[in-house]
Amino acid sequence: MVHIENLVKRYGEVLALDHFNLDIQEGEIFGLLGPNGSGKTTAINCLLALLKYDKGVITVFGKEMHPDSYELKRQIGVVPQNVAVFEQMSVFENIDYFCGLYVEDKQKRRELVEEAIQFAGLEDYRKKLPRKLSGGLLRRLNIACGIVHQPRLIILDEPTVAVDPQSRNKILEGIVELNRRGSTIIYTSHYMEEVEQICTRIVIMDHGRSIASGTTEELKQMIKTAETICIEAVLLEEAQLEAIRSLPHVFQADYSKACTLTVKCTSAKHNLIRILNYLQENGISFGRVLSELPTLNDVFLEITGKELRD
Amino acid sequence: MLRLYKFNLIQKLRRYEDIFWALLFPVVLATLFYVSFWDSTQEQMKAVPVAVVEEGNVYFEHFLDEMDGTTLELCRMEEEEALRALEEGEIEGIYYSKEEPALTVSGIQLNESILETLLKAYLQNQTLIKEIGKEHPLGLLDAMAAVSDYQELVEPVSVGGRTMNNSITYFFALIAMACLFGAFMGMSSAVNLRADQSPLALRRSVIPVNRLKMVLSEMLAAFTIQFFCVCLLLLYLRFVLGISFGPQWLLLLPVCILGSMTGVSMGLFVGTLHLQEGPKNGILVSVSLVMSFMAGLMFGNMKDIIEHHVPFLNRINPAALISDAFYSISVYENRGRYSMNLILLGIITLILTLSSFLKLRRERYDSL
Repeated sequence: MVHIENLVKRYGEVLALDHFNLDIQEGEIFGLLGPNGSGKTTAINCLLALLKYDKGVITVFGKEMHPDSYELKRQIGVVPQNVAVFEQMSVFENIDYFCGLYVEDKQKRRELVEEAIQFAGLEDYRKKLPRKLSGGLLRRLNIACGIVHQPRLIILDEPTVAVDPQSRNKILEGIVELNRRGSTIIYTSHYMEEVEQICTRIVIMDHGRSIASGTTEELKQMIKTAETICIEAVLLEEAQLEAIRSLPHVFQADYSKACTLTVKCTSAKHNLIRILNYLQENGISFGRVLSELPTLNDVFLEITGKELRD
Repeated sequence: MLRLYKFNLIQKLRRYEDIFWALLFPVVLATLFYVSFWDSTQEQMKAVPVAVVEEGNVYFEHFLDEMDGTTLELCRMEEEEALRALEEGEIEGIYYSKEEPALTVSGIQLNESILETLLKAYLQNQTLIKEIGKEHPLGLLDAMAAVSDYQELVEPVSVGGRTMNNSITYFFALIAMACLFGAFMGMSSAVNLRADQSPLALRRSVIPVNRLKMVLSEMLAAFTIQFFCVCLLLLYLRFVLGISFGPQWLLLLPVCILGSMTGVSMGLFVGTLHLQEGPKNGILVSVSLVMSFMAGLMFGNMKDIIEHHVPFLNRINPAALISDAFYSISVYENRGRYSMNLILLGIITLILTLSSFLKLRRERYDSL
């Protein structure tokens, strides 16, 4: 459905997209995950024929995208990163305006606008001006304006930035529902939990490049860490720490000044039991114990050497 | 297109800051002008200061003397001195009292027009006066008096029949300013159209609607509101403040139409500049006010002074063109000058609109 090949975009000396490649199939919720400035929005803007690029090929629905590709644009819905609605028009008028740009039939338009209002949970606010809405409701209006015409492809660029948890959940549920109704979704975010929660396939971006792609499970399997074990309030000597490092399937063990032991293990059964047994056998007391499965942040950390939110 | 126009109209009508500049500000300013000096200038027109260079035509000099202190304020001077006084704006013209009397003026405003009319009146009657002087010298004074009565006819009046009031210049410049303030709405249109200017414009750049339609519907909506505001201002001036624009007031409408279009296109042009909204507003306020000042908004004679020294500025200043078009109709009934002003306004509007469209047409941007 969307094909990007060897896309290169420079802002002067800065390389924003470095031979970026992407393939999105119909029916996916495709996540573009990366820290701020990694090139997600630039890639989206190139895809929408808004930005000039230095090199590369972009096709949408099998056709090359141009500024005047109206037939392609008719099938795309865009929810930009910043709220983009008319401040002077009510919730209803805004949604109706954007719907009218795609749908000419009055009756059909009325139905779609009502559906979008209900979908975004804006029934009680249809006559309100955007400035009267909370941040979360404003984001929902922003989304409603982008999806009201029920497009085949919906591009959501960081739609949950500065949104309260309740609205965030509502938005994420909505996106899954849109996909269930038949829309293909491109979802950009720097919130790994969101991407992990809803996306069927993910590309992790950094410095304008795709550094990893696959399903959440595939991405997690790419890295060494299968389990991270944290043990608090533990008193260790250097020799004991070395002994833990030499336990089977342990590839990293760090001991902090706050007396917390963090152990990273490769995929194996009973990693936690093995470590706790060692502590008991050596008469080492310990406090709270946590065992975490790897996150996309671990994937990012292991590939780039930095945190996703750095 | 109609739907786009309708939505643009609604959206712009609710941008109260733009409506303030387009309607309320000019209305408030007009009221202040009226309260400040309209009544005090209802007095008789002042005599027109003019130099006489004596070159031996006693009949003409006598004719002029008859009007000294009423219509004219005569100063007898040598030619060089007179030319210097004209250059410095101390006098409005120079009469050469030679056998065939002549007049030199430096502009084409009301006072110069009075001087020219007087000379024409004299020339039409000079043969008659000369003959009376030769054949009936005793009747010469009566004949001169009869000719001098012409001054009643050249008393400055508006075509509406009211005594011409010099302060009308301020109101003409004010209407010109109101037209140019359409620039604020034009600027908002541009900001809503260029993807690199606002998130809303970015969203509107990915919709499946022809770009020309988008630009035209925006411009048309801005123009409609602006024209409506200027018409309201005219009605306020005419019916609330009682300022007469003469019986040919319908001819003021084309000026308002073109003036509003010029204002909107000026704003559209500035709106396409790669600047933040604040600096753009600053540019528009400054440019509109400077143009209006040059058209006589704060100093009534400014347009004449510019006409004396840099007439080209008056030809490219939309405020001066609008003001002069009003003048041509309300005061002179000079259709040629009126049409020329409209043509120049049309050219300026066309240039600004085309330049804006080149920047607003569907394009890819270097950065967003």
